[in-house]
Amino acid sequence: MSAEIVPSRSLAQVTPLHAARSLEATREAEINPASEAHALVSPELLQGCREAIQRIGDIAHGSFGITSALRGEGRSSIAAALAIVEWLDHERRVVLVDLDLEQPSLHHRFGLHEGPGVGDLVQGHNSVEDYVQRIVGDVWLLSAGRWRDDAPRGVSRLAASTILSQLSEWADVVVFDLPPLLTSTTGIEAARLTGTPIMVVRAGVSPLPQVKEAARMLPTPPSVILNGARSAVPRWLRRSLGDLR
Amino acid sequence: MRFLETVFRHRFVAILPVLIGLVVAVGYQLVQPRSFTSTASLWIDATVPGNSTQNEANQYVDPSTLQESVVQELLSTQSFAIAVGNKGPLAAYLASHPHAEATGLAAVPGLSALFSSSKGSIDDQVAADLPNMVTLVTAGPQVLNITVTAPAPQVAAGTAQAVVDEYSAQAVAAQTASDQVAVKYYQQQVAQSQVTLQNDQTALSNYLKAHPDVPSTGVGDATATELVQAVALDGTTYQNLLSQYQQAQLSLANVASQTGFYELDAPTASGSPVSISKHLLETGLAGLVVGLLVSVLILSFLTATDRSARRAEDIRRSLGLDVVATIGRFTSPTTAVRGGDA
Repeated sequence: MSAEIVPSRSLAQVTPLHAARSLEATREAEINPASEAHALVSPELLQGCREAIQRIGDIAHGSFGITSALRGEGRSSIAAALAIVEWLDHERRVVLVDLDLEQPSLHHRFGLHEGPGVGDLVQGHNSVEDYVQRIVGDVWLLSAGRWRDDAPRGVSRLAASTILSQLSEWADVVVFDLPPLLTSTTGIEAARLTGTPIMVVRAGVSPLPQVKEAARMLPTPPSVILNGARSAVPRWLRRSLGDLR
Repeated sequence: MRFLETVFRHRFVAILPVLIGLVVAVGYQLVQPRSFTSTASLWIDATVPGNSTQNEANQYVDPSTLQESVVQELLSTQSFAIAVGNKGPLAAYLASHPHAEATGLAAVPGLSALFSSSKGSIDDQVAADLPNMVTLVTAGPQVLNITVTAPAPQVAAGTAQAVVDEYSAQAVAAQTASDQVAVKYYQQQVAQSQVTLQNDQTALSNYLKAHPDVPSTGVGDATATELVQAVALDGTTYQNLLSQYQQAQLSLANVASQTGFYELDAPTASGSPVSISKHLLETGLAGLVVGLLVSVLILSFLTATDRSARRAEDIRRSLGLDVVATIGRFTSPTTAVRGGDA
């Protein structure tokens, strides 16, 4: 979907939920949310995530778990882009959940508050709606929050809580930004809480043996998004070698 | 394709060895001393002097090629090289220019102490340098060019002429020795044949005196006939041997003209040094090839040790996973403004 298309369920129809909402929400009437969404994520990322959703198949209600073998592979960028595409193209309410409890970054990426978030939810009795922050349009962030326990215990509490079911009920699609599988103590446990696993592999960086090891740890074989895969070989040379169709 | 990816990702690594190879090769060639060449052309007859067996064994090889191999062999001997050096100006030149022969790495400033060979006598230097200075090329079946490269034009021309002269002297010496043996042999044979003839003649004469009724032709007398035939045979043998003896003597007397070759073009001293363009081109190409080889080796190593996934095919083939999207390099506006990537 192009940037000119504005979702029918616009921001004006979305009711503010909590005081922790982003400051950008105050400007929502003045800014075209679709344009703002495009400004948040690069066109290449949006296009890549559109292709990924088409290949995986449309899930009207469900969740994506974006993970990787190592840190620095573009996991959070792709998770954010995937969430925005689901809203832009399919007009769905999307919650982006930062489950990288050891090194949360999504709130910083969008200029939102670190908390309250998942950490506060598992320790309290509030509902999800109270803690989500709007990113843009109908895309919301549930940040990692301020953890008082260690990360593995936090993931265990999350699994035992009703937070995930609340998220599924409140939003159409939930996108989890998961910790890396090999370098985080909570990678596997967090991945088991999510639906469709998507593994981000950074081209030219991620060693194949480690990607293989990480993929084997998941309960189901993940779909892969190859990130940063721009070939250094000139296009004309690739075409002459039959590498381009 | 993976190798090409490595090449284009590591352009600097790909280009640098080639550039270094080219620069080093050209620099190496530029610091080499100037050289002059002089060529003598020989017309080769169909024989190899003093070595008839070689000629017979190689009857399908051009005479010039046979002579070339002989000269090449002689050049590798110390006695021939020293004789050439002393006959020509080479030995004197080396004595007066101790560093004149510094070539190769020894000619590179700063490396001369490391790579120059230990100094021996002038004869040793001549013996070591001469084979490298002389180039033999057959211009045709009967023309052999002897080219000498030297640091001075007079040295090149003088040495080329000395090679021809010394080779001629060697050929004459070999032919002389062969002819002398032949002369001595036939001399002995003639003398022996002469004695035999005289003995048979004496025996015939005595028999005829004792038997006056027997005609001198021996007809009608078996003994006389036998003696006459023996004298006739001895005479024929003697004449044949005498003829061969005289032939050998003639050959010995004319040995200087039987070297099997003569000089068509005498070497001349060229005034201008050998153009380095060809050498520069050859050395530059060699440097490029070596640099390219090094570059390919490095890039092959990088490709072999690169275990990362670069293309969707790598993941599909190696891991059997479905690649649902491929995203090129991107710049995130929010990342740039608000924070870092996960």
